[in-house]
Amino acid sequence: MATVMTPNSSSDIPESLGFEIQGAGRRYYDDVALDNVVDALLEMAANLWMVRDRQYVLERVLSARGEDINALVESYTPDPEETAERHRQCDDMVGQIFRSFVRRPTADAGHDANEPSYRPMEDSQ
Amino acid sequence: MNDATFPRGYVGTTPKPTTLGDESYLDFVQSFRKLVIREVFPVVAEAGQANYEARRDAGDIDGDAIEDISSAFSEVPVTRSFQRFVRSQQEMMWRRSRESLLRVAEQHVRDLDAAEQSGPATLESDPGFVTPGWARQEIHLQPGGYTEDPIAGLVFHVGTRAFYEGMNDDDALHRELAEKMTLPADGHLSRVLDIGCSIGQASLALKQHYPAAEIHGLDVALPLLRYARKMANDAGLAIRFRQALAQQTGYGDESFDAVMSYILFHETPLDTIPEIVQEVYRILRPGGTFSIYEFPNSYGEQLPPAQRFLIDYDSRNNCEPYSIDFVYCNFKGMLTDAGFELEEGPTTMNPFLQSIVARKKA
Repeated sequence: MATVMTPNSSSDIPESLGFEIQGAGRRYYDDVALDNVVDALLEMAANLWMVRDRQYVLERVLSARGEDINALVESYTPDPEETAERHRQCDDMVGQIFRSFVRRPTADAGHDANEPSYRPMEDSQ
Repeated sequence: MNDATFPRGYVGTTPKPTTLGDESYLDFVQSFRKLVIREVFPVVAEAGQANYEARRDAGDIDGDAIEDISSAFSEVPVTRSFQRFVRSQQEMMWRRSRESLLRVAEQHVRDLDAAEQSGPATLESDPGFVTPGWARQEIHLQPGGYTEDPIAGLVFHVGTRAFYEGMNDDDALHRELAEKMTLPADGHLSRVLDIGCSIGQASLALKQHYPAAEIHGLDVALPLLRYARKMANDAGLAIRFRQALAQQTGYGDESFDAVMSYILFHETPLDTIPEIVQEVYRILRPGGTFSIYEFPNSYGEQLPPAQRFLIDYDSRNNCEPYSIDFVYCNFKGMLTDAGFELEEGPTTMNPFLQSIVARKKA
């Protein structure tokens, strides 16, 4: 089962990469909660668009096959396994949208936005 | 590219994300970025400028130091939201692009390996090459930057679709840069270098525009070059790529008729800039041209406060550690010190860029 509400629950970026975009990231507002709200809002909007876009494509595909979409959707009955999978996906989406709140949980979480973006790196062969 | 690796096809020359959901998500990011840059930033500029002037008139600040400008801009609420928006969309762009492409990463790396055995493009790299720490930053927040991730070229290509706001899907910007590259006065063009070529979009455009010329592409980042070679092979273009530092190219004296760079110098530390300029001067033949498309440069004449605020923000929050030094350095002085004669270059579809043509005396 997917872990929900962890900062990077849907990220497959390995720990060795993504120094900049993983972890607590940056804070811009005086109240870090606002940073979290904005991140959540953006994820929510992105997910909303994904759903609308997919629904648009789905309707076009089914219409091309002459299907009665509404009747098919309303009469659809998933089995328990599929239901569990849909719950898992829902958990994932909830985690993705609201992870910003645990990403920067305290007032001092996150790097100050005025810090320069540079970290010492060794030469590498 | 290998259609078996990217069965969902391409947008222009760019592989599509691996699922419709990823594509929709990244389309959202692109639309959001367009809104933030085109509609939110002008409001930030106007309101920030007004607050800056009010603070200055009230005697709260007495100069035009960037700290004063940033402070005045940051007091305006929309500025904080603009900053949050830009950072968040950039994080969303890279996170989802890489997650999506990870599904085909193994096959893609096999494709990149296979490209080594085919042609017509070539790639020279020294196994002992040392990548300097300054080049290993996560530029523009890309995970692993340009040097640490084996699939960095693909991630860069797919991710930067949003950066270009959909206007470069078919490499239109790079084709324009190549087509507008300034030729030597005698018109002779047999050897051209795209220095800091990244994934080779301009290198390919140069070869398509000048098929008879020998086109070279040089970059510090091997993952980007491996992707560039693959793209050139797929397009049937015989381009010669090389991994090297721009200040130590390894090419012979006076061996190129023209050199082109696109947003190279603001990505390199200040002390390397004159070295790169001198190296380009060395490898250009007399009468050769260096076409430079670059970040704006404000030495001796200050940019408007809103633009200074934006560049300062971008440097700190978009992992552009060297851009501020570049913007305020005497770049044109470095070019003339190296021996170049300068003229204004052609304008491009990106009005943010400056365009300089540096000529080596015939």
